[in-house]
Amino acid sequence: MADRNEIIMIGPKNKTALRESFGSWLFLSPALIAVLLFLILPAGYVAYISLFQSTIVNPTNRYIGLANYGSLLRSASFGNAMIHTIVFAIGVTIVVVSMGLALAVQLDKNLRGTRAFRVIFFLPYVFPLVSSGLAFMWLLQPQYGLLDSLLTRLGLPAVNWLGNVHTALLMVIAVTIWEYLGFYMLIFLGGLQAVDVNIKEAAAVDGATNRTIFWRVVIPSISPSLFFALVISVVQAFQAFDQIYIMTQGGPVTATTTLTYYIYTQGFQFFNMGKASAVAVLLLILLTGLTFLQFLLGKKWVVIDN
Amino acid sequence: MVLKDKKLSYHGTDRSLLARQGTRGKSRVRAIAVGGSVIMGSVILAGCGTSSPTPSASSKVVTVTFWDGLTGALGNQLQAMVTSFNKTHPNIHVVATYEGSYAGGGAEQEKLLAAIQAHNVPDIAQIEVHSVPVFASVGALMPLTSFVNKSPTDQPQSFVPGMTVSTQYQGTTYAIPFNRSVELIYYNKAMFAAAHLTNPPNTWQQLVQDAKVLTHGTGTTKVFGFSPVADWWPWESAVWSGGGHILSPNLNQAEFDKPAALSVLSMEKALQQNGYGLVESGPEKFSLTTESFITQRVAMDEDSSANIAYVGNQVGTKFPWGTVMMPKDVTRAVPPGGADIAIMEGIPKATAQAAWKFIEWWTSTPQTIRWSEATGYLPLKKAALTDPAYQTFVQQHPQEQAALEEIRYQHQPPASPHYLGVLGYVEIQLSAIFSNNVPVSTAMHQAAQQANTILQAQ
Repeated sequence: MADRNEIIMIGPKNKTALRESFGSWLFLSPALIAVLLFLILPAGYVAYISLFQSTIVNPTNRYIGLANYGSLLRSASFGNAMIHTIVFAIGVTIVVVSMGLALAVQLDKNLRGTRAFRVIFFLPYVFPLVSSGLAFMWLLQPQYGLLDSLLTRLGLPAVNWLGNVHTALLMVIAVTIWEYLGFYMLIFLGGLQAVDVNIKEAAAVDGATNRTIFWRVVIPSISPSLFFALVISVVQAFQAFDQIYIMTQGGPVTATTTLTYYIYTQGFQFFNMGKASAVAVLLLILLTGLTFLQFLLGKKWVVIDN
Repeated sequence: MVLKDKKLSYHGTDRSLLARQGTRGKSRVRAIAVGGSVIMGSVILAGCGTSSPTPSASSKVVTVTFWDGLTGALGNQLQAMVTSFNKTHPNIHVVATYEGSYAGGGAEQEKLLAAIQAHNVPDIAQIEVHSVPVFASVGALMPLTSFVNKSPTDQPQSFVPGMTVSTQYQGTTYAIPFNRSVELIYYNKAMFAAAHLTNPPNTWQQLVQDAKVLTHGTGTTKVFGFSPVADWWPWESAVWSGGGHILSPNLNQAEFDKPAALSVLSMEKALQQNGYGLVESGPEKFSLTTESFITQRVAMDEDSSANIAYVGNQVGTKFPWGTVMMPKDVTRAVPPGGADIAIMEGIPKATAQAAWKFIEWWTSTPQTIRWSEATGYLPLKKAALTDPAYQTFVQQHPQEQAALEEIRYQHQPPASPHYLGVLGYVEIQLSAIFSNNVPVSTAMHQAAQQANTILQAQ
């Protein structure tokens, strides 16, 4: 079988195939050109810049090989940003996936007011993160903010939520969860509604409890949705920038400096495009690795229904 | 980095915190949009070159593109003045566009960097005073010496003494003062009277004593004696006032971790630790400090002179207040604030000449008075100070007096191309001192070590 395919590949029919596929390539070309121009070429250029020591106006001032990577891996600030990113990603992913699923399960029961709740939970996702960040910044403001004025009314001390190194990252995580929860709820809801009722009923007839049905029938059925949610949530968390830029600018101290914000400070505060690019390349490698790992592990638990 | 006086607007406009934050958010969205179009534009225009008006055709209108960093009422005032210039100069058309904040790390500066790399720069731009050496050192700014030498009005001695400290790099003039401010101590006269204090502080020692006396109350009604701002702008003054230096004379070594450089900072930290000082944190720390003064949570605070009009509007007749120069310790020294204007290198000669005409017009005595009265920024020219109209204005706004006196104490910030990076590290450690209780010497030593890595990189 394989041999025959190979013969076809190098045979004269190949030209015909090429001619036939030309139309497809033509239709694909606008997208391919866009991907090439705005994704692959810039990414390649970033990798190239990462090998140079930069000046403010000349990113490729002096070739220094992998020195940017070396200094990054030795620097405490990079390690710090990495830890914040991991905490951020774990915090956001665990909550949006588990709460998103829990909400979806409730909304899937077709109770009264389900539609209204669906809209309410999804609404934050419609707002740009910039405006959500601003709104939360206002709510968390220590002098006039709603949260602290409630706390002081209850006789509790006001907390400078975004100005305190112990709470700032938590608050940024909270806003991110608030923003994305509805999105994940919707993904799970889609998955839940596609679960075959017959299987559930068959399990019930066989005497399975609701809990068993959920873990043995529902979860495997929606595992592709779960997998998708996990991958996207981790990628999204690693790319978080807007809410940090708006709410904390990476501070106090560097408590909310994640990898993407670190790239920004290296590039635009320290004008070190070489180093910023090196961080970007490391981020790309890390995300590719993580996603690959997720796919690898996914094979063990994601049920793909053929 | 924190925005200083640039997002302030004056005279009855909506200056609520939310409105300002809204503007910030918007400017970021715009920054992304415009940033994208800058890149796109530079790709498209790469082969086209700059449309250059021919110098011989004097009847032709020369267009001067101007990137500014002022929004709200300040931006409106800028536009109004550009319009009057265009009306009175039919051969020149200045097009001023708001590009986001001009502060270090602000959108205007980021776009300018992208534009320089793409060889598609505007003709003139507002440059934050600390960034002039950064841009000049890489050849992005046109040397203005020949313009200045030939100018009937803009000779260095025509400016208020101290005003041009930020405009030179290695002895050459690269920028002209544009919208300038200094930091001051604002004080609540009613609280001073209640504490039987007759004069505002003149030295840091006096300020510390006064802050203790002025502090009273507990819980939500507590009044703090002083509110310093954990920001690099007042920090520069703290280092110099104590007799310290920020960088070594050859600019390749950080010296701000030496004892003299830490004395004022340590006094501020002690005030906070002992409950006499309120230190705000987060991106809005400047606005929060201003609000604390207005709402009488603090008796004294550090703020920009560009905020006098705003504070005046907000306080109204609620309490009498005044301003005083930044205190001295070993000496009195303050950094410049606000922005200068520069002509970008590589633009056509005729455009540069037209741009210079605009700069001369802007800095002329009548225009600088008009700008100062409308916005609260400092008048640039000596002649303005003796102008009867401006003197009347100062009589009506006595808080301006301290700012005018302080202009001559302006000190040139280190003219290192890496200085903004140095300030970035300082800013992080200031936050560590005041938000995370890291000892002053430990934090500043760390910032100095980090600064040295970029100062000694080349």
